[in-house]
Amino acid sequence: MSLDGIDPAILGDFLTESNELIEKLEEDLVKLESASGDDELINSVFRAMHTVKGSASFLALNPVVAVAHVAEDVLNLSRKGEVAITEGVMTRLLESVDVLRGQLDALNAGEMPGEGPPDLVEALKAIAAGGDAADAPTEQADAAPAQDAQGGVPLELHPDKMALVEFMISDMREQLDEIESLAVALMDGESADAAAQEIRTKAGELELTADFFELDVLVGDVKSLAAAAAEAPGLDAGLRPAFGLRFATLIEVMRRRASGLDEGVVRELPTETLRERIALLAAGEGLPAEDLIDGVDQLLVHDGVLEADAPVIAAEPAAAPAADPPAASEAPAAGAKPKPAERTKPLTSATEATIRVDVNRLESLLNLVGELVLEKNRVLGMARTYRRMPGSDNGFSDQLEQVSSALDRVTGDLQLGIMKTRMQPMEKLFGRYPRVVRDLAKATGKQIDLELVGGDTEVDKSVIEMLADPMVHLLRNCADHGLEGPEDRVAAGKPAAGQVTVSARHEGNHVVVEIIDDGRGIDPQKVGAKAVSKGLISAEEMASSSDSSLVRLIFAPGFSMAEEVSNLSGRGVGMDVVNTNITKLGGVIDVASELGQGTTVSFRIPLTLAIMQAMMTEVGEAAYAIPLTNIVEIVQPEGDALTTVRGNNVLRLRDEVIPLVDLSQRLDGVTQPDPLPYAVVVGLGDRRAALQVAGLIGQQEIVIKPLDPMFENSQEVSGATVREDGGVSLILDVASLLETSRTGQHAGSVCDA
Amino acid sequence: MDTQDTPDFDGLEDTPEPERVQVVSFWIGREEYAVDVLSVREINRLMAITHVPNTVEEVLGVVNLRGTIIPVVDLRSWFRLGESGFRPQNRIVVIEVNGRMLGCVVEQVNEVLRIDPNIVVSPGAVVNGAEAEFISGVARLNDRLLMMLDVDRVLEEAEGPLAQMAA
Repeated sequence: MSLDGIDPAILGDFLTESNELIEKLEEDLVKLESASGDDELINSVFRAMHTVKGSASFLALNPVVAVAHVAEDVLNLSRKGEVAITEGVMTRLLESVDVLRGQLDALNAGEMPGEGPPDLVEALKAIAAGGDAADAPTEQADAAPAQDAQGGVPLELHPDKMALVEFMISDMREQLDEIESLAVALMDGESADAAAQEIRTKAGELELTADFFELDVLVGDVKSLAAAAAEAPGLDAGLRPAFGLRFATLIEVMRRRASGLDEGVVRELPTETLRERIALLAAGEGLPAEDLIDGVDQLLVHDGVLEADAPVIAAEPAAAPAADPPAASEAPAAGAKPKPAERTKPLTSATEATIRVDVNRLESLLNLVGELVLEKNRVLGMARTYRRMPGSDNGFSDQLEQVSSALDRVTGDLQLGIMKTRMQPMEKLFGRYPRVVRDLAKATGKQIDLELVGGDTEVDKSVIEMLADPMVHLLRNCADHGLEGPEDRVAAGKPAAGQVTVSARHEGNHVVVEIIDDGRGIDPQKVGAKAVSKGLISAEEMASSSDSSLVRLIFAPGFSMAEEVSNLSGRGVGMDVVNTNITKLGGVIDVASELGQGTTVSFRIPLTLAIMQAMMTEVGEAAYAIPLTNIVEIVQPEGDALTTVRGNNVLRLRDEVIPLVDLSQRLDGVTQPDPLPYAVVVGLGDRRAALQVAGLIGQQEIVIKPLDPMFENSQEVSGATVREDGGVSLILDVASLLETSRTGQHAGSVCDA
Repeated sequence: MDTQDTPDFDGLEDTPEPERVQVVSFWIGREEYAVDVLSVREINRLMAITHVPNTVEEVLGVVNLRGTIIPVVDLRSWFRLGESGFRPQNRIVVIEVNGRMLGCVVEQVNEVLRIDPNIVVSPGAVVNGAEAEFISGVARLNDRLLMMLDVDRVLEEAEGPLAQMAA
């Protein structure tokens, strides 16, 4: 099989949608583990799996369909309460999610995914078979009589549509089930209005499904059903039993149509009389006594749907209660067994008022707004210039100023608005954590309660993407190092289950994320000793360091606290990588810990990578932007502040010795006769460097633009920005400047202080 | 486009048949080059070019093309014909292939003309020198010799070897 026949755009949509569904599905599954019996959750999981299967089969992605299908079967049985979601079942379901994700990744890479692992598929099949399979509708189709008692003509549809018939039928059955359960409420005076409303919504969906089959009679049935439901709330109590019965009968007829379609035939089942009588009842008119019949089966014959001598068979075992009410005259809606749990499920959980937009389109909008901002700045400048011109005191100047300030405001709002379209809630990341924590708890034998706070905090899409790995790493650290085992915790007077809280909140233009555990805390002395043993600091340095700065050593490159390398963490790259990633985002990371009480790792990152605050500086003829988050302070060195240590230029600042980098020499290769007047002290973690510049232009909010890949060797700069005058300024990459000043690649401007 | 678009009638413009390709011609040194108009995004006057550290001299830097930052190279210096020297008639020809853009400083844009692709012959012995590998063909028109610039090769070189040279 190949992907050649698939429209890449459709495949792309499928991948986007399915990945989202699977993410949500996984999140719900984990929730379900602790809240088994939550019907809403299980229904939502089932529906998501069903949709994935449906879309995959539309694209003939059979390996995906196969896996989704068995998982869906298990979910379907468990939502009917026939399969309990035990830990074993859950593990299999989660595995199937992993397999599906792998298959989607393969598709994304342009490959046809492989079949799911046979043992998983078999295991899920076995779980499904263990349930009371006879009652499952997926099995019912097979159980339905192969020979069609009512006869009918073969279903003829466009070949493309034929592939979808199975799913449309399954949709139709689902919708009929839902309407049937709503019918109970419809017959109940108090909730009738709401139920009628919901039935109308459902009937609308059902009508779309019916349309698919291009069968007028089926569409007619649905319309009749919807119309009847609309009248039901105002119905006289005396007419309700008869109405309910015929309502249920009509549903039964549609079930039989569905069964017929499942076998590829269009059953005749004329419903004119039945529909007519329902309409009469709905209109508040009684029926002659001879038309008041008990029992759906009898009605089917009486209203001419079935021939009198046709064998009375139930279309589906599940519909048996409907077809055989114990005493129809007492049962208001004979077909509708009360299923309170189903009634409360969200009817339109999937309908969000959102649309998908290609990120590239947003990017180009953002670019256009950037241009607009430049033009706006020119207009503002022209307005200012005009005001200063002689003879401009004529009212026109005022108008020009008004217009340009309005333009200024609107452009600002527009820019902000476009930025916001790129924002996504942290929920996007948080959704994965329950699963991660569940697996971690299993692997470490610890009990972990995870609390997620502030999932609705919005952050730029690219920030979310770059946060994903560091966050998981920090969670691993919590489970592996932070939290104690249950016995140790109880011995320490803590609850057996460790508490991990992940929280996000906005602070000005930044988002603050915290990962808090109530574990054993970090022992500064141990960290210090480890750092000394690894040669990261000297024993004297350790003696003179504060506890909090010792704890911060966990971010130092090459530091690892784990005694042994476990498969979770402890390879000595962890926190360093976290630190690097956060730094790349222009963020700052910190850790606070109290021995025996727990640890809090927190970081502050800018809301967006598209805009940042920067100090514009002059170097030679060019202006360079230095990210404000990296700037510690700016000084004008005097006298002996500039000196050399072992041949390297350094800045003496209070009791610190900081390596000096002459930007003019470093960036332009020009050696200035006199030292440049300003030193911008930049820092990342504990590293410092002083960048010498010729002048300071001022602090500005800049829009970050990427540089062409051909500049990848220019590591001193990380990007570019467009100035107000339309020119380009480069943004300095402080991390790289610090790196080279530390490793001493550039003699003359370096110090290993 | 900021260029002379009045064709000079040298007998080449008489019947614009559909199979003729439209090219922009420009001068580098004493040689006339041409590129397919379809790969020319626009032609601009010289603007302030921001130098990027750690690049070879052929790479002049970056400019802002309505919100997108694009690299600019000096074709003359690239082809070892000396530097362009920035005169008022210099232009930046922005070429675009597969969404990537590159600004090429040329000495002077000459004209937009249609040529019969059949008169384009292999560069062969006509061209030698540093620029030879960036020429896909040569068109001889009366007394003119048009060198067809291989835009793909130029971009390829700009991304690879030209960028690596600075390392």
